[in-house]
Amino acid sequence: MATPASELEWTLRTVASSTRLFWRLLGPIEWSGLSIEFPADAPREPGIYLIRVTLGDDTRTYVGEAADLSRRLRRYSGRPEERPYQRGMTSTNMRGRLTRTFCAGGKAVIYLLQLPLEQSPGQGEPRPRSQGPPDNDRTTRDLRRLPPWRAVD
Amino acid sequence: MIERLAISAAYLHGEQLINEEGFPAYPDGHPLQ
Repeated sequence: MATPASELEWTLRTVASSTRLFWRLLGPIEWSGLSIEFPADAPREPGIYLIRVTLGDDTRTYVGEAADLSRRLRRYSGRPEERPYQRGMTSTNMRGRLTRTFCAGGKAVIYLLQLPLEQSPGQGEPRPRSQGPPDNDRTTRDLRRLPPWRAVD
Repeated sequence: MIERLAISAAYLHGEQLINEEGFPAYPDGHPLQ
């Protein structure tokens, strides 16, 4: 698998403004064979995180928000056993997904979003996207409620 | 609000999202699901 990028930089633009999202690599998520270990240096503060799981050429991304990043990642860490009362919880789903990925030979990394976001005035009409989003009706319906952002390469 | 913005940005940049609500369900048994 390719080395994960140390940072991700995305820009969203509307006619009125553009917003830059800068993700910093916090580190790899490790699998000891028994338990999941996240990087220990997550801050004890609110934030947005992005987890990328990769198996071969296949990658999935999860974006989440936490009032305390350190506590959230500790909740995702540990053994993957699922207790009945935990079934369906995000933390249980995440541990299960990570465990299946690691056992199949995959890897995972976590990024943190740099806050506050950088915003600047728009520069007229947005440029067309060079790469469209994946074709998915449910996703499109869900995003219809969001502001008319445009990605800028 | 920022989480929704970040999810939008990920989607618009072609990321295959696995957030629980409103995003694709991959086949049962797929290791990444």
